[in-house]
This record gives sequence, C-alpha cells and structure tokens, in this order.
Amino acid sequence: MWAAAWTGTSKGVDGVSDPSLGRLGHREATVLTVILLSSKIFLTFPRTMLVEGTSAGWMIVIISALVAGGVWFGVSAVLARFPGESGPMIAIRVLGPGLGHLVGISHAVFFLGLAAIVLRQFGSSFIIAILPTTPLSVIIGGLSAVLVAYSVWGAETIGRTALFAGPVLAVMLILLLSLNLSLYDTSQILPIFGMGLGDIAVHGLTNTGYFAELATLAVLVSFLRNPRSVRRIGYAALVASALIKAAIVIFITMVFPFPDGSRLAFPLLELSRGIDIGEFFERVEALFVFLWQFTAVIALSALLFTASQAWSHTFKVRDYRPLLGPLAVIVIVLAFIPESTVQAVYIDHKLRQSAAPLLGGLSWLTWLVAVIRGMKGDMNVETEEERH
Amino acid sequence: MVLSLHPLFKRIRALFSPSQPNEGRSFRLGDPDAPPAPAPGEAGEREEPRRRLSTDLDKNLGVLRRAFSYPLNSDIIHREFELGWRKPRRAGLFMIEGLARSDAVTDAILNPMLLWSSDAVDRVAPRRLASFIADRLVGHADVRLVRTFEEVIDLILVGNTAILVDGSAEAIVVETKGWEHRAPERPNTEGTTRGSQQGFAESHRANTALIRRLLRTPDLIFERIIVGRLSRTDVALIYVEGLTNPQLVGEVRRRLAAIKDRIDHVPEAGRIEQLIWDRHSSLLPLSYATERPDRVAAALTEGHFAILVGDSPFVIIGPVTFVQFVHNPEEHYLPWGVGTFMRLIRVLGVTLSLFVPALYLAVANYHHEMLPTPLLFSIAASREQVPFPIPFEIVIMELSFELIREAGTRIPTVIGGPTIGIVGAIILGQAAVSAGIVSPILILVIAVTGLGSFSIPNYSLSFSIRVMRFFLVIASAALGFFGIALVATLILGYLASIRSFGVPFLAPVAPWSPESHDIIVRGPIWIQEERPGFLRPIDRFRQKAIVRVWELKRRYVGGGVDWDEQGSGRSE
Repeated sequence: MWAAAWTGTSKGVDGVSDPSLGRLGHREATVLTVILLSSKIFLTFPRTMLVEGTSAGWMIVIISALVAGGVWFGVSAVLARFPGESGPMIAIRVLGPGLGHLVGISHAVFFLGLAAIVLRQFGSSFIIAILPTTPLSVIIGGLSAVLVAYSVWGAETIGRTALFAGPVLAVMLILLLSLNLSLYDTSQILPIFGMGLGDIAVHGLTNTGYFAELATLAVLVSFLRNPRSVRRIGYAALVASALIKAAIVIFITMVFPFPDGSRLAFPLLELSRGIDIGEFFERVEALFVFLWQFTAVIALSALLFTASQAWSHTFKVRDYRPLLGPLAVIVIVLAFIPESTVQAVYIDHKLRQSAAPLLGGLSWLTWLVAVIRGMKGDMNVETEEERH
Repeated sequence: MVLSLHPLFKRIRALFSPSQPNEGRSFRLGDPDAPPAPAPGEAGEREEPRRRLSTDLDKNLGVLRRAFSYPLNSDIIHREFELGWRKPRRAGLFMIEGLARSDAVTDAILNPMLLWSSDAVDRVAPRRLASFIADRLVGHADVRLVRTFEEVIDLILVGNTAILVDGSAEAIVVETKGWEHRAPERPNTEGTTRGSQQGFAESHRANTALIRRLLRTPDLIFERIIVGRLSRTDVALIYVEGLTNPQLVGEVRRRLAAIKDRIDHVPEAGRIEQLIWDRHSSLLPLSYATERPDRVAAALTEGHFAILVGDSPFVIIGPVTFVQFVHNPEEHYLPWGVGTFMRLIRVLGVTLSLFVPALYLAVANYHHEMLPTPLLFSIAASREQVPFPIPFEIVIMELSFELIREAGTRIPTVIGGPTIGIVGAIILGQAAVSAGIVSPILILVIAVTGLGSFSIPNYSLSFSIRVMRFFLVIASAALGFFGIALVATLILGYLASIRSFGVPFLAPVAPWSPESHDIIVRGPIWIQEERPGFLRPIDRFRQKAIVRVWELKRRYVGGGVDWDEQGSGRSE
C-alpha cells in the first residue's frame, strides 16, 4: 500500500495518488532509456570495443545486447508480478527486510557510482575537446548544479527533456557521421569476425554491463503511466541503443581501425575533429559540445534521480528532494577519486563487469523467490489511461 | 533584516519539508484525481449577504446616496421626479456621468416616463409599478428589475441607469452604457498583411462583440465574474460549451473566484494573468495576451479558454504552449508551404535572438579554431582599436539597444517616436564604431539579434528571450560553448518543468501529441481534422474527415467505385 503512493497509479497511504512526483509516458521512458544506454558512445566505449573486438567490435555490442535482453527478461518478470512497484520495494517484500534493504542499497550505490564515473569521463572529454585550461572542478561543478536542478524538477522533466532533445541529438549525430563520409573505408571492418567467434562471444558476455543502465527502469517503473509497459519499453530501448552503439563502433572502425583507434581516448570526439568541408567548415568539434552536453545532462540527471529514488524507496523516505544535495556531493567526491581519466575508464569498466551482473542476479533471485513463494502484487492496479 | 528575509527562509524550509500528497498540488489537465471544479455561476456570486430594497423610496435613496457619497461625488447624477398627474408617484434616478449616455437616458427613460405616463400610472398598484414602467414605458431593449442594493450599485457602476419608485421594492435598471473609448484599430504588436486588421479596443462590450461576430454560436459563453474589491472589474471567462474541457474551465473559474475578493484593483489583463498562472514567478509567459479577435476566435475553436478583463485591449488565451508563441494567424490564411516557411523564419528569429551574441562571444573568445583564417584576421583587425573585452562590448551594445527600444516607445509621436529608434540606432552605432568603443562586426551581431527579436509575434515572450540572452552571454563569457550549453540545458529543463493551466509547456512535442498537424510544420488545412489533443477537448474533431468531397466522388465514381461505399474511416 505504501508503495502505491509512489506509483501515481493507484491510491496511496493517504488515500490519494501523488502526481506531483511526475509521470512518464512510454515515449519519454523509451527515449530516456535509449539516451542513457547510448550516452557512452561519446566516451571511451567505442575504444573499448575496438580493443576487445578489433574489426568485429560491433558484434560484441550485439552479443552483449542479447545477453542483456535475457537478464531483462527476469527483471521485467519480477516487475510484472508487482505492477507499479519498484525493484527495491519488491525486494523488501519478497526477500524480507534484511536482504531486501541490501538490494535497495545496492541499486542506489550502483547508480551513484555510475553517475560519478560517467560524470568524471564527460568532464574530462569537455576539457580535451574545448576547454583545455579550465579546471576539472569547474566543469564538474557546473554540470552537477544542472543535474541537481533536473533531479529536483523530477522524472517528468527529465523524460520530457529527453523526448524533446532526442530527435535533435539524433540529427546532430547523423550529421557528425555524415560529414566524415570521405574518411570511411569499408575494408577496415574486415575480417568480419575479428579475432574469432569464441573471442567475440566471451567479450560479448563480459561486456553486458555496458547495458546496465537498463536497471534504472526497475526504479523508474513506479513513475510510468502504464507500469505494465515496462517490459516493452526495456526491449525497445535495448534494441535501439544496441543498433546505435553497434553503428558507432562500425563507423569508428572504418575511420580508426585497430590498433590506431585504441590510442584514442574519445574516438567520436576525434571523428568530429576530422570534419573538413571546404575552407569555411573545418575544426567544428566545438559545435558538437551541444550534443555531448545535452546527452550528459539527460543521462546523468536520470542516474542521480534514480539513485535518490532507489534510496527513498528502500528507506520509505516520502520526499526525495532533501537527499539530492548530499547525493550530489557524494557523486562529485566520487568523481574526483580517480587520479586520471585512464583510471576513471578502468574503474568504469570494472564496475560494469562486476556490479552489473550482481544487480541482475539479485533481480533474478527476487523473481525466483517470488515465483516459488507464489507472491504477487496488486494485479488490479489501474493505469492512468484506464482511469480516464 | 532577519524579518525581511523571513519569507525566503520559509520558502527554503518548504522546499525541504515533506509535502502532503494533496497540499499545493498542481493542476494537471486530464488528471482523473483532480478535485471537483466549481460549477458555472459559483465564481461570480457574492459571498456576503445581500440587502433587499425597501418599498420606502426615501430609505432606498438614502442608502444609495450614502453608498455613492452623494453629493460629494461630483460625477454621480441623482434626480428625483414625479410620475402621473392625479396621484403623483415619487421616483428617483441614479447614473454616473461619463459612463452612461445622457441622450439614451433622456430619450429612453425620462421622456416616456415624464411625458407619457399620465393617467396610466395612477391606475397601477404601487407594488406593480416598477414592472409596469419596465414593460410599458421604458423604450430600451435591455431593462431589468433588481431587488438588492448590491446589484443596483454594481450595475450603476458599469454605466447603467437605475430608477426607483415609491412603493416598489424593485429597481428598474436600464442599460445605458456609453463611455468614450478608442474605436477598434489595427493591432499594434501583432500586425499581419493578410487577414483581419482589427484589434481590440478599450471597451468590454465592444470586445465581446468582436469575438461574438466571429463565432456566431449560442455555445459561445461569456461567463461574468467581478474581480477587485475597489475596481469591481468585469472579467469575462470565454469558452465554447460542449467543446472546451470542463475540467479546464472549472479550474480557471476556481482561480478567478479565489482572487476576485483578495485584490483591490485590476487595471489590465497582465495583472490577472500573473495571479492565475500555474507558477507565480515564471520567467516565460504562461498565457497568451493578444490584441487580435481572430486569434481569440481560433483559439476558442481549438479548445482554449479566453479571459477578457474589463476594458483592457488585450485578451488572455490559455492554456498556451511554447510552439504557439511562434504561430501567427497569417500562416493559416496562406498555402501551407508558405505558412510553414513563415513559421520556420520565425523559429530562426527566436533562435538568432537567443543565441547569436553568446555564440559570437564564445567563438571570438574561446573557439577561434572554428573560424576560417581570413575571417579570423578580419575580426581581429576590426577589434584592434577597441579597448574593451568582447563581453563588455556586447553588454554595452545590448543595453544601448534596450535603451533605444524603450525610448522609442515612450517618446511622443510629435517629437518623432517611430523614427528615433532607427535614427538613434544608426547614429549611435556609427558613433560607437568611430569612437573605437565597439567593433563593426558587433554592430552586425546586435542588429541580427534585434531583427530576430522583433520577429517574435508575442511581446511578453520577446522580453523573456531578452532576459535569457543575458544569462547566455554571461555563461558564454565564462565558459564558451560549454557555458552556453549549460544554460541551454537549464532553459530546456525549465521549459519541460512548467505548465500552463495544467498543460505541459513543451506540448505537443513533449509529451508528443501531433493530432492537430500544426506544430512547427503547418500541415495542409484539409488534414487538420483534429483539435490539439493536449487540450483534451470534448469534441475532438474540428472538421469532417473528408472536406474536399467533390474530388473523391469524381475519382471513385469515375473509377466505378462509389466513395460513400468506400467510407472515410469516420462518418461524414
């Protein structure tokens, strides 16, 4: 019953739903998740794929997406058994207060850690791209202020901004890729299987964590107008982001093949530097900072907001806003822990390889326990559309 | 100091205090859990008890004299006279000079009553005298009988004439409004080449007539609400019954009812709109103030509501979304391709107005590599004589531009109001360049920004854009493109977070609601079958699925298939 107060889909503890927390339509949720999952294309992700898969890095992305799809099946199954309730709420209900709280905390900590490490990498990319003499603290401080503002405005604002900016970002990305048309060499994606199918499969499995942001849906489900659509939203976002990431890896491979590409920290940034259309359109990488920035703000604010919600749902905090200041400070502090960008990239990789499977495993465990114990939520929860 | 900061502390504390689910809850159009809205008429009714008129004329006249401070008030006209010959009946008249037309009072009230009443009045019982006079003597279309002092006073204050007769507990109120006002002229800020050239004037009734002339349906409702304890301003809530969402109308009615007795004075529509917006301190206008009757009529047919405030020549339209600020009626009077092109030009104007100075500053200060070498040298050479940094130059020029605009608005026409802007801009710009205070290229930048700013069809929005431009310039001076992007994301987030009368400000883009085919691309008229979905109108369709019926009939019948048999997906 308490949980329903957060859902906006049924009557809560006070007998009324609380729409002031914001609601997400399926379009907003899908575009937001696609941006979240794809935001790493602007960072070192294409380089990692090049290093691990050489000319077949894009296949790693596809295999990772397939594995992530399997994990999502379990996560969405447990969400479907308890419509409108978030992962931490369900875990407390199914696994009991001890383990349940641990699952909730692990969600919050994972999203915070991810937000911190992605923030650090975006900060570094801005310094490398356009502001070489600006201190990192200024960049990270400025970004953090915007993230807190977005998180205060809530899920609805983040979702709507994503929906509004999504098509513009897509056009800018297509423009960036098309303006390098003369640099593409299709022969560089050969041999098609890179170092071999076995190698690709192993790396595909170990890099599934690059789709870990899908777990945000397990928390944001309580903001969906129709919580039953969460599985569909997850799969749609997974497919779209896998296609975007695979395409980017292919384009990067065609311009910077292995091993040249492995020396670039941010390959997409290098691609924007390569644009040279006549005398009046060259060195325009600074223009693409808008693409980087909007993606970073949407993705990071979603992560910060999700972390605050995971914490609120775990400890039954009615108003999440007082948490945002302390959480933002934690994110900033964590972002400064890596001594260099290289170390930040390494931590990001390890976090995704170790923590993401743990999170997925806990969701599956929750599902299995719920099935064995025959536990179910209120299956008669009405969606907003149904109540109209 | 501590006391003066107290409200601020309260607001900060409120931000971090747990909110109750229904406390300060914002209105969302279409929210199934929204509290019930007041019914029609509830908002217009007075809450205090009403005093009934007496049959004693002296008592009635005494109350009205005291209410109007007669004879201290010099514009109150009060006359006592007698009706009939054999058994004269005493009567009294109240009107306000300047608000009521004295010729109408003479011709329609006094002449018939004094000259023609004679014996007829003598035969009527005193309690029926008022209705007799209203039915048989007063030669005017709008006559009513009222029984309370409050109604009599309210009606006199808006230009009616009240007649009270001895022995009757009813007052005869005749509509004699007729004060001096400007005739409807061309709109000052929303001019078009094609379409209506008529704008609202400073007359409530003339303005309602201008709207009624365009929508001749009995479903068009002008709901009267009196707002302001001192001004007692007539406010008309306008909507189309059976089309506009009743939840929306109810919410507006609720807000107007809430403010009506809490404020003293409503001089202009701008004060009312700020009081009833969803956000009390919004940077952007959350309603559309227009001078154009055709825009109001078009908005009403889409499912919006409108508010006419007293004799203000601006009518408020709500709810409003961001894209509607770049719409102009003219686009709808031209072929859709041309209309879309005009709209795109306007979008470009908004973008240029917002970003050009900040982008110039960022490129010149931080990102020189983007500029081709000859252009970079040209900019550097033009700035050689200028001692100030670029941010300072921009702020000087922007402020000068604002001063010229402000002065151009205030200077009397005889001194050359319209020309001062152009002449001032040219002379000041040339002088500033010659003096080496600003570079020539900056004049170009500011001129382009100004042109973009004037292409925005809404006066309030153009001001908001100017304010945001200053934020962008400051951010650009500090952090180049990164700073611009930072502020731009904040602006976008802010736009996504606000609502206008329960409708998201970024609709119909976010949330996506493309039914009307009229967002940035203005779709062809024949496919604009649906009204905007974000307004949740009761009647979704504004035209039949097939409008150009003759074309389809010819095509299908000619091909051996009857169009009617094919069906149109929706009954015609």
